[in-house]
Amino acid sequence: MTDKTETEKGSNLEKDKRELIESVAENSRLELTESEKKKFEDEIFSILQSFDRLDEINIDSEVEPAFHPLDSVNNSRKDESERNLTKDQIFKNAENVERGYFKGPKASED
Amino acid sequence: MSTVKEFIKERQTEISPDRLHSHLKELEDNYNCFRQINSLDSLQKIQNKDKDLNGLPISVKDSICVQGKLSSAGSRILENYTPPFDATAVERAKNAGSTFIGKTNMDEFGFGTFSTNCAFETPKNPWDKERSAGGSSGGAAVVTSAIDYPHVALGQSTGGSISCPASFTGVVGLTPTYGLVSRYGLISYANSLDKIGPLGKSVFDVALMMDVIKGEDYRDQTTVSRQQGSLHGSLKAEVEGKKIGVIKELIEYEGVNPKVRDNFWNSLKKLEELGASYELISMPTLKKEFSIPAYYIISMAEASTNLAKYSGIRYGLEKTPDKKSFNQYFKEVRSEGFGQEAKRRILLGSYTRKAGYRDQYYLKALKVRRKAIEEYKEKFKRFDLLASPSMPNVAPKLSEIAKLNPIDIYAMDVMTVGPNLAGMPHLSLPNGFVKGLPTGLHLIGDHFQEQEVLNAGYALEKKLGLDLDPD
Repeated sequence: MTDKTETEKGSNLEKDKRELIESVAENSRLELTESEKKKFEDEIFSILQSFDRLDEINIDSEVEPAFHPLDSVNNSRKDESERNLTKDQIFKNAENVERGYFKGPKASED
Repeated sequence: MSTVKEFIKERQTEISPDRLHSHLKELEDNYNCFRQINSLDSLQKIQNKDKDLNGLPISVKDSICVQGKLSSAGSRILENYTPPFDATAVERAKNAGSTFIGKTNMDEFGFGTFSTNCAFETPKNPWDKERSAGGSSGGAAVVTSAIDYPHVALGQSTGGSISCPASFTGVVGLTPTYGLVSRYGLISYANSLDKIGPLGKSVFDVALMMDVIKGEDYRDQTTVSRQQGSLHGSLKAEVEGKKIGVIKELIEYEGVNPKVRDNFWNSLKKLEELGASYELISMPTLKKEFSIPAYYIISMAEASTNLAKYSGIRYGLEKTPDKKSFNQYFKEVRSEGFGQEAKRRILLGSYTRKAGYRDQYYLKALKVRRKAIEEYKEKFKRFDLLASPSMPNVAPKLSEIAKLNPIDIYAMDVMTVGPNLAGMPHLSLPNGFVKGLPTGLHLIGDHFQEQEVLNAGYALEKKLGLDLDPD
């Protein structure tokens, strides 16, 4: 009986892992192959477990997160137009160009 | 061949573009270090004799944009990208009279410790071609180590990508204070961690190039306006009276090769002979269990947002967009263009920023980073410098790396992630050999104390007098 329960737990965990990997991949606009899914679901949860070691550090809830290493102020440039790329330079790296526009996929279904 | 110092001061050495070009091709054939070598035609046209750097050859890491040259950041998704502008660091180096010789191979977007995650070629270590050159600025370090000309490389570090390859190939690498060098034109890995810095054969070489590339830039809002004066002009081989803190959590880390540890203590003894003193200190946040997760959570979260811009429109890898929905098209391009480590980091970065997990991972890591910065600042009230080995070991064999899992690989960054998280300047200086392979010493300074770090490195470099020619 115990074995069966453990097996069920295990297969539920595998199912959860698979669903989570698929949902994060979807959010990230990545299409994973079956072998990539298998590899990542094993690796990523081990890596996340190693990240959980941070819970052992006692950090005051008042501590400010450090988004940057220095508390420097962002210096915005003057709001003046400056050198710009030419149209040729802008399109130079694009393959899908039509009538002076970048061409992308359809924005809505027909 | 003359040193960089002789080359720019004595101005006696003439570099033949033909011979230089042949030599660069030879380096590429031997070590896979270049993504692209500048054409002979371009090399012949460069006239720099009347400028400060006298035509000094410089190589540029593939993630740093050079106008009209391939700038792929080691990724298939940017395979044919040629930027129409120079990064600020490149523009400044060109204006000072350097000669651009080529783009150097690297891990895709900087995602790696061994340059084995490059979409194009894996650089080989000039000390042993079966071994890694380190990552992610592997190509930059190989060129610096093996080239027979005066030369400085522009590299980039996010969590150790200058120190690691510098240590593995026996060259000097300077990672500057965050914000001292403009990131404009750097293909981002993680914005709050990325720093462009030089690799050279000597401390003078990196000090010189830092003077050229540092300084405020209105095109990068995070650059700082701080004035430092001339680092190479003020270089003094003096450590008399300096106090050095040896980071206990790093030197006692169980993964340190005992012979790397011996070289470390030998360096500290030499610094003591030169008049410095040292003391063992504790910085608990730098323990591997904490610093590695904090670094990887922050860097992956930022990387996953940075890589969201690669969508197969305007530049980079493109497919045929006809009859496809937005999502289908993006998925097709991104799934083909990104390598395995980039996908792994996108998945992990997206996960740790996800609603419900953000506090547990991302915000927690940022708070740990705050704690690490405070620990450094506290220590710098008492010490002028902090020290550790640059890497826990010598360069591993490429065949051994292939057997490692991601957690083992990430753990190799234990020495380097601390100063990178805190944005502290640090120098990796060659400090000896283990079985014929170079090792490195990390000297870390407080924010903007590059001069302090360079002077100590300069003094020790002279005292050690190592032969760092891999041939």
